[in-house]
Amino acid sequence: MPLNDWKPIKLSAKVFGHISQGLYRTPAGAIKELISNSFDADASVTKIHTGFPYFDTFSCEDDGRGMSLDEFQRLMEHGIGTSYKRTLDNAITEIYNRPIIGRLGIGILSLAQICTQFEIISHHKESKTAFKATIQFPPYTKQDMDKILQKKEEAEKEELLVQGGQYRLEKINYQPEKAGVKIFTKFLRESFRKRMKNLSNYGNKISTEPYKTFEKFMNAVYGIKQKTRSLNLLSDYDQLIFGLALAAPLPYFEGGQGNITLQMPFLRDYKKILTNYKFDVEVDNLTLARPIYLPSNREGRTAQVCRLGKPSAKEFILRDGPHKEKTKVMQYPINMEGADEQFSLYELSYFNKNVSGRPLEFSGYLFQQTGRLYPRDIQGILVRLRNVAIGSYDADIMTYPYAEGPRYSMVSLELFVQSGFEDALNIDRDSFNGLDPHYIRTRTFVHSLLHEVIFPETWTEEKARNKQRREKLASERESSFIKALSKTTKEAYARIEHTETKQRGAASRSDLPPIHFDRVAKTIEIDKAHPSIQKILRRKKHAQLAEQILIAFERANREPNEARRREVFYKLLGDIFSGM
Amino acid sequence: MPAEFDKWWDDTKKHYKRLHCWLPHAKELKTRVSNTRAFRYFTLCARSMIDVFMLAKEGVLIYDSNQDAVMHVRFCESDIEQFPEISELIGIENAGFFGELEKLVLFQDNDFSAQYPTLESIDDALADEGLVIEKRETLQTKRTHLYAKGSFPYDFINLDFCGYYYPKPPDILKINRTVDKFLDWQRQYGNGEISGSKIQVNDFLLSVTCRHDDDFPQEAEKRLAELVKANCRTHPDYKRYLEENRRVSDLNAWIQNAKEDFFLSTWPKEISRLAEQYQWDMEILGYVHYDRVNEENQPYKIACLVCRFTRISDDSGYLEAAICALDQSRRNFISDIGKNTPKGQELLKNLAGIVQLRNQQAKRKRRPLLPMP
Repeated sequence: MPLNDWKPIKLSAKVFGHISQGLYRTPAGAIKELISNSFDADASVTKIHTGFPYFDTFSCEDDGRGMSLDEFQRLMEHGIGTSYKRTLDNAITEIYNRPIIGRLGIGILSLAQICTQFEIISHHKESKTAFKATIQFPPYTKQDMDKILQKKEEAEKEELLVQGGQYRLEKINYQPEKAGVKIFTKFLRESFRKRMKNLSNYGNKISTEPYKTFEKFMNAVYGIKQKTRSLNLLSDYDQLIFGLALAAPLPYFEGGQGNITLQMPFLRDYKKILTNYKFDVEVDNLTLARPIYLPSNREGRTAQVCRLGKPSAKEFILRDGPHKEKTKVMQYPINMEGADEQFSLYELSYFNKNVSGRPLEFSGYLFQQTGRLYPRDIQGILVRLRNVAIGSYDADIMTYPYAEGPRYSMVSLELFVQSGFEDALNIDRDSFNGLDPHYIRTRTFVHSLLHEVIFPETWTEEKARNKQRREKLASERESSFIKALSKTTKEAYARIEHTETKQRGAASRSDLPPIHFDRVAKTIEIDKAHPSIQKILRRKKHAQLAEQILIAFERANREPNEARRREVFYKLLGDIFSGM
Repeated sequence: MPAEFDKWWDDTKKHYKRLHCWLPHAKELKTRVSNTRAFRYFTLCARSMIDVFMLAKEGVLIYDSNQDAVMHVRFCESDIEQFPEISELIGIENAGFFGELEKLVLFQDNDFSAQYPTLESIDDALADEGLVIEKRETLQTKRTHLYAKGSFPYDFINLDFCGYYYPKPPDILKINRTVDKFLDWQRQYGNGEISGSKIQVNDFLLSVTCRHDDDFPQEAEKRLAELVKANCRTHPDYKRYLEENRRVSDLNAWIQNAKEDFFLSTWPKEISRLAEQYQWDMEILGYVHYDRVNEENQPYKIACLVCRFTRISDDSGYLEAAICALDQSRRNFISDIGKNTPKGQELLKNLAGIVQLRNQQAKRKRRPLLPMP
């Protein structure tokens, strides 16, 4: 016999506090939810004010459809997370045909990350209703909860254990010109304020003034000089702006150093889609845009000097367990004015109507350059679901299993999921469930692409380029050494030749010195296989240096007296080491 | 017109006041200040922000077109919808102090908040998530109070209150005490716009606008009567002026028969007393009043006093200001100015220019536009 009938399982306020305050990894991850809500509500703009530089108030307003009184009451009374905003995967908004982002209705909960209480005013267009509400989250953190519980009377404990906060609601007159949602709070968590208020690294320490334009912000982000070139070197406030600009469904920033990927036809189309959404996000009077400059500017190598070449197909095999699939990407070589380097851009696309019973479709690009991309925060992969970034760039590239050394830091991928992935998303909408079949298939695609196409090509190119660089350097060092030798000895030499002693007619190698100075032919001949120096020159890495020291020794040895021999040898040694 | 804009923003009499009572003195002070630093302005501007854009249009305030911002303006606002909008139209993120002016300015420590004397200690205390909401609010108010205090001094403080100088009991003096604080804070060295430099003002403008009607609290009436009596005792010149020039020998009769004149003649003394206390020499530069009718068709009066305060050299200012307030000829009554009269048209034309500038900013910031007057 069962002990009782079905009964609801209660959620502890402690757990609620844990989920709401620890749900998002960054403040941007939390505030992004509010932007997504505005996007879904067909707003033309979301305005966020952080109260910089004191951060004692926070507001977020939009001019969208608004939230109805009924919807709000249902969320409050039936439980946060019961939104019916999107029941179909391909649901779109009415005015701007935007793919609806939200699904669970937990956007409001995201505010718990940054404040303990907030006010919301909504004027809802369709129902012509309006309300003003105050929402109070449980004021505790995970640790504080235990402390509070100890202080409370037993009778109150029960209540605390089921309460997920409280709210006060007031019906107000609907005003059409005020349609939209306004959120305001002065009850910001000190943990959030403290992070934001630490502005010692704000703006890359170039200025303490608020950014006047988005380009100024980009200059700060892309101007980090420290070796790691990570956004972590900037203030949390900078990271917040970057995080929101990256996450929101906004067009790419097109000023400044530029973005070569926007020359790709596929991204030009994508840009049109984003522009047609007619959606803007403003943070502290700054209009945001997707903050990507590609390539990273090294020695003037910006998008302005890059040209996309003709695309060609690259095929590879995608292996997902027993599933094997031949797939391809389009490679666009990138030629750079005034440089012999060649970067690459790949257009990616994948469609399979049945990945564990559901279709999976995505497109995207992969940019690959020689030398590290910076800031470090644009290295790796970023997946966008309904144009919203899920988390930030994953430098680990979905746990890529092979050791590829610095080549990791030279690629930047953006994947735009068109269908699928819904169940792959964790509740924070900031990360993925690694066991989801769509996630696994995408990961396999990316790993196969990197392992079979991108990195081997990069490897070959890199090897050739390094060899070229080494040879050039060696040649420069040699000519500089010969010049110095000629000057010191007042004998004109033009080159060093590698030869074997026997070519000079000797019976045995050991009968002749390993180095021969031919003043007529203006050459220095060196026999690398000569028994007395063979060992010295064996290590390729130091061969040139050793060779030059030997030449210096042999030449100095030809001087008539000890003092002169020492003088010439020391002088030549000095030339060798100063030319290194 | 969106219902939210304050009802009287395009009133011709109000604009006359702005144009003839505020602007000339602000311009005059600006010419003296501009050699050393930017003009600093504190306002209760509401979302129409005519005063801010009038001063910007006339070059008293600096408009920085690089960042679309009116510089060196601070405001106080307690409406959660208007607060972000005003900040945005000013274009400076930290231009506002959120909360009710009197509550912020008159903040007083209790035993709990007294434990946290500095901004840092307040921030640390607020980091305790278990802090009950009342204590949290107290500390947050204290924090804004300290920020507001730290922002002083200003060159022009424009307190365009919507309500009474003496609100209904129990606290009829809260506005007066707010002005008291301001005069105190004006004496301090403040943070300048250049890091490290300190600002001190030797003279500044204060404008107080308030309403008066038959609901004038008896307690306030009694207070003002006592102040007049005390003045007559200690300042023979005041007594003489009252008796000879104003022909007032019976104070009670004056109050009973000419309540409005009694109020207009006496409330500025409150401010001049405070000025004396903080060693400011007060000079009344303009004193205007005009009539209005409320939604219930009941008449009331708006009075606006514009004063200049100068660091004291002698203490003659108090008496001069008190006598000046008594002098009816020094008060300027703004009679009705029909919108279609030449004077009305002229005022509206000027107002239109300001609205245009304000709306340009509102358009840039995608905020509701004021209709052209």
